[in-house]
Amino acid sequence: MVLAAVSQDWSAVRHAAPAMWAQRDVAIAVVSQAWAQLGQVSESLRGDEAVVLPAVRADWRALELAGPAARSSRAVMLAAVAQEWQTLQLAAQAGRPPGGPAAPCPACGH
Amino acid sequence: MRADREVVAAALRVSRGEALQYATASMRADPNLVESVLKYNGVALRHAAPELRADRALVRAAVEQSWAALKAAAPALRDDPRIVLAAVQQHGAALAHAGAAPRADRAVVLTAVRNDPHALAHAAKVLCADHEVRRPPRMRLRMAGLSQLRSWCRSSVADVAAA
Repeated sequence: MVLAAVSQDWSAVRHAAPAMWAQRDVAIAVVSQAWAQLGQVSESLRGDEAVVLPAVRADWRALELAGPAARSSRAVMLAAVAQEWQTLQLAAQAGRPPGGPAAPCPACGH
Repeated sequence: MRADREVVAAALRVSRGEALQYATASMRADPNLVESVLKYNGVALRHAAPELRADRALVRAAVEQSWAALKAAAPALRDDPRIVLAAVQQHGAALAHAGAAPRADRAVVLTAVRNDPHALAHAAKVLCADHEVRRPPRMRLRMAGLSQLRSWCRSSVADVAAA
């Protein structure tokens, strides 16, 4: 029921239990409509390609909210660099400690 | 993911080669990849590995695409009159990035001056002693840029005398 509501209007998730943010289908429905909400989903889902990809397709800046696992996804990175090539700098690198700070993004100054 | 060629290739296409700076060290040292970039963005030579910036064929391809690529070439190649000539044929300003030998090379300097009279600022004073520069112009052998070079030599002598 929550999924049906959120699929029509992502903001309906505000009326649902906080645990709903951890639901994969709900998260996908939300970020597909509002990419910036990727920052609200659970950490594990922020590394999930299926959740991150629709957000990045909507706006490359969602990559800044994504976890290292998603930044290792070819599909996610292709969607990002097609919009803003400097996101290549945000791609996961071998040797970077998990959860460590990401490189600053020269395109956005963050 | 920076090591993923498909992702890097997409970034290179979108950025016209500038994304090379974020590619892995092994990609920036890959002659084939770097050459493919230099075909449409010679200035991207500055993101190539040092050994490729010392590769004569690659540097030549880069400066032929863009004279400004000369700045990123290894010092030995910036001192090579043939490489520098390829750059100043496009724009005399490239002489600013040349080593000492091309700045004292008459053919290089004259080519540069033809394209950009301001290139004289980067010419070597030793050129003023060149017999072709010193002797009076002959109608049939008059070379474009030579008169500017002579004027520059005369003013340089005047500057030295005044100092």
